[in-house]
Amino acid sequence: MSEETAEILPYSAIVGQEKVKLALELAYVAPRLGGVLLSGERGTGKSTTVRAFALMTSERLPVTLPINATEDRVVGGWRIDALMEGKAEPQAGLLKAADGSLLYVDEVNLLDDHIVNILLDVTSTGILEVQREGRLERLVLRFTLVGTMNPEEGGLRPQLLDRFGLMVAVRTVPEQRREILRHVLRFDQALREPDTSPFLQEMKAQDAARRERLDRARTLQPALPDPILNLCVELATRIGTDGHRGERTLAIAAQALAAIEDAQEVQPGHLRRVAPLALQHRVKGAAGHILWGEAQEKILDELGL
Amino acid sequence: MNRTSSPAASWQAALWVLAASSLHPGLRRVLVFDASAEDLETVAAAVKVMLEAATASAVSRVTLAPFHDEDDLWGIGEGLPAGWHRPGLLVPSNGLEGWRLIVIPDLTVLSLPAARSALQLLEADLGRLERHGQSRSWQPRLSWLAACPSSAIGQISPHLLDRFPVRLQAGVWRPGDHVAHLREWLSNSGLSQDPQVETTQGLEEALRQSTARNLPPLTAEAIEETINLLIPWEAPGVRRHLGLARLAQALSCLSGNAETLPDQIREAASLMKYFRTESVKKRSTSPDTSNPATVADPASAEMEHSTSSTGSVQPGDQPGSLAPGPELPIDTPSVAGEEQTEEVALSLSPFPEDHAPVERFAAPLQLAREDSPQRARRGGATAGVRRTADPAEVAPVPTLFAAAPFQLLRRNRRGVKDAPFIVTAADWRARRRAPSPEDLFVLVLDFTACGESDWHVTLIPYIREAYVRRSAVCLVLVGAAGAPCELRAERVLARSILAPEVLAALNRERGRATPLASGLELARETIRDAQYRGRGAILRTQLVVLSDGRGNISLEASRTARFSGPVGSQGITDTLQAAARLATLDQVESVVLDPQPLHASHLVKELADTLEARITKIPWRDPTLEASA
Repeated sequence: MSEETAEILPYSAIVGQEKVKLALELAYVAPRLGGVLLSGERGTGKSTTVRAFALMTSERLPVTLPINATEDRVVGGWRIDALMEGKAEPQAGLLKAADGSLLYVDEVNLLDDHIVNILLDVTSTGILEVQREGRLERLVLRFTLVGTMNPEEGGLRPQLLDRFGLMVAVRTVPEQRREILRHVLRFDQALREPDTSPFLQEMKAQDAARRERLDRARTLQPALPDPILNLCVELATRIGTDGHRGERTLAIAAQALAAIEDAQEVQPGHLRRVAPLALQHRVKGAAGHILWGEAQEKILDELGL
Repeated sequence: MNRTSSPAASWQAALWVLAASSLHPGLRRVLVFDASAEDLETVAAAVKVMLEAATASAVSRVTLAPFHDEDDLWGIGEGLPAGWHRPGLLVPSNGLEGWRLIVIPDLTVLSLPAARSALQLLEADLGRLERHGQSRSWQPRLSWLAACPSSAIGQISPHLLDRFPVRLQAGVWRPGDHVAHLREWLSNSGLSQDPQVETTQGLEEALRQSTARNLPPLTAEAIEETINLLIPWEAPGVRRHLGLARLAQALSCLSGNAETLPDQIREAASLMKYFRTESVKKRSTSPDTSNPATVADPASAEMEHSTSSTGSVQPGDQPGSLAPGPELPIDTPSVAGEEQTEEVALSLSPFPEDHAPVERFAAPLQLAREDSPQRARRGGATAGVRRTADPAEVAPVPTLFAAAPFQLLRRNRRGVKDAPFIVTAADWRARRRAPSPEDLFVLVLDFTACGESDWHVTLIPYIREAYVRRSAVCLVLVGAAGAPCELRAERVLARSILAPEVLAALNRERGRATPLASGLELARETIRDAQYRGRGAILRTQLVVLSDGRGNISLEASRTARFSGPVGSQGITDTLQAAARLATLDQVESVVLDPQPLHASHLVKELADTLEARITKIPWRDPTLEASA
């Protein structure tokens, strides 16, 4: 374990947060989903889960965009040490570094507006075009945007909210506190002997097994029969989502879930489990608020999901 | 460890807590309430010594000032010649470096860039820097010590406060006897003449020995005790539970124990002032069921407090660090009417933010929107740097720093080796400022007066005006259901009328009491504070009061949060006096929205006259009802 990764709680040691884990895994299996937003109460392990997930799937921490990042570091610039010697050597930005993998923004609702605009542009077109400081560069980029936020500290612009394929409303589950405490304190102990700790070795083994399952799911393509596609459209319509992105996300997410569970075909049950993740932040007229409650659950029941 | 509450013993207990927090990396974030500048220096000196013992490395110290901006915090000019490079206060220099103690003398005046930076680093196991050509990641070796007046905790984002697991109350380190306190201060003895002498007496050595030991694991019963002890102060997540458990573990380690038991959990809770023992003279009375307020509020029972510790609970204390929690009676037998003395463990909250009224704008950690007109105005505090195409906005120093790396390249391309500094439009930078509105919209909304009136419609023109003027917003809610304290008005601050919190506040339901005097006082405080904010001061205030003038809670009841019975006309008298004080403020345009009450309608005119406000009638929702009234 390297110095950089030594302090991260293993993914398999994270108690609860099943919806968070589901959303991250779906986005990993189906990158077309376009990203995950984890919005919820403070102290619920959002950041920890994202970083642990990245470690589990790629054995490295995610490319992270800090909230005070400057534009040159986001889109790329020049190496200053080379410039001092009169040479123009480009320095890749964070967006390029995240190409093909995960770009993580912690406290995404505190991000500088100017950087948000850049993200919006790149995530909607898939192209980063840089014309500044004598540089002319056009890159095709694909990354999974993962953001975490505490809504008490302010909302997210609706345009940026829409860029996230899936959204999870993260809450504390008081009954899980005991187990969470136990695991975190055990991890504290294990950090004193990271290379020999039985706890860490067991978690590492579980992580490897999980990764194997997710990698296999990436190769599968469960069938999406017409009745399921009809249900996607009807559900998105009745929930009241804007545009077509809702039903597309629903279909892809359900397929990814079926793949993770080794199913040959997507079932209504898969739709039910991914529906809140795919639709709750897209409800028409919500103005950035998250709407999912009894009324929406009733619609799922009426549709037989 | 001695749990007695004499000031000296309290200070010793605090030293143990500081030692434990130095030992455990997850605890190196300490928040001290109500510390004087001298107290904080003493604590900082103690922490530095103990951190050096715990980490076996040198500890340097950094103090964050209210003017520190992003360049100060994160550094600038890395890669540029030595004269240009300025290392950041929060970033390690290249090469090996020991621990840094970050001291924040007052969290309430921390700059926005510093608060945002603290948010990134406070719990981070990995620091990230991506600014102006700098790209680094490192394991932060930062220990944090912050101070804050408990009465002002409502000004700070809970998102930030949540990241301080160790809390200490400085007030108990000083004698309650003011004469003794004055004598001590005059003799300049301070808490400790030589903090090193205090801490090296056992603690330093204990720290060194403890670093070689494993942390004593918590038993299942200890975990259970942690959960149970925090029930009165439950908050989202598990940070508080982890903080308490880790503190107990660290204390247990210092004491050389093999396990951390429930007793150590209670000990840790006691050291952080979760509990305090007081001698209470209590006169037993029959419960008064006629007034729900007196039955529900234990503080309203006749009590005379005497305590051997400082910072005793006094009538009139604001909810804060001394907000009383559940009582744990030790000696219970009592006879009606008989005065008895009981030893009672009163639980106090190390989390005053849970009870404090909100005194901050919504979304306090966000930067101003790029398209906000407030951005370009007179200039609030610096919150960073941005590109600009407007030469009138150019800030010379950031622009020069942006141009510096390109000098050699530009000179070579122009074939002029000795050219002066070459700056192009691409280098232009301007200061990003914190939002600084010139207008303030204050709405005092009396929910108990709204009745049948169509007040939403009547408010529209004022809300529209607040939007057009990009006014800062203050909503004072009087008599709203679900208020933390029914006897007090609440306040919602927002940077704009579009903030979701504004809509949520306007949609509250009607409550029971009408603390109108408290509401007007809150409005006056807000306006006065906004008018005296230096460069960011408000120039104009629009005050809208929607009420029938029938306050039924006296100002005294609001201040003490104790309702001792019907107040007669005192509520109205206090309302008018508060209105008279409000009317003395300059640059305030006032209007009273009259809901046309069926009874005592003259009070609306009296209120308006006292406020020197004009009156606008609110039509009733049902015009037939209005006509028949």
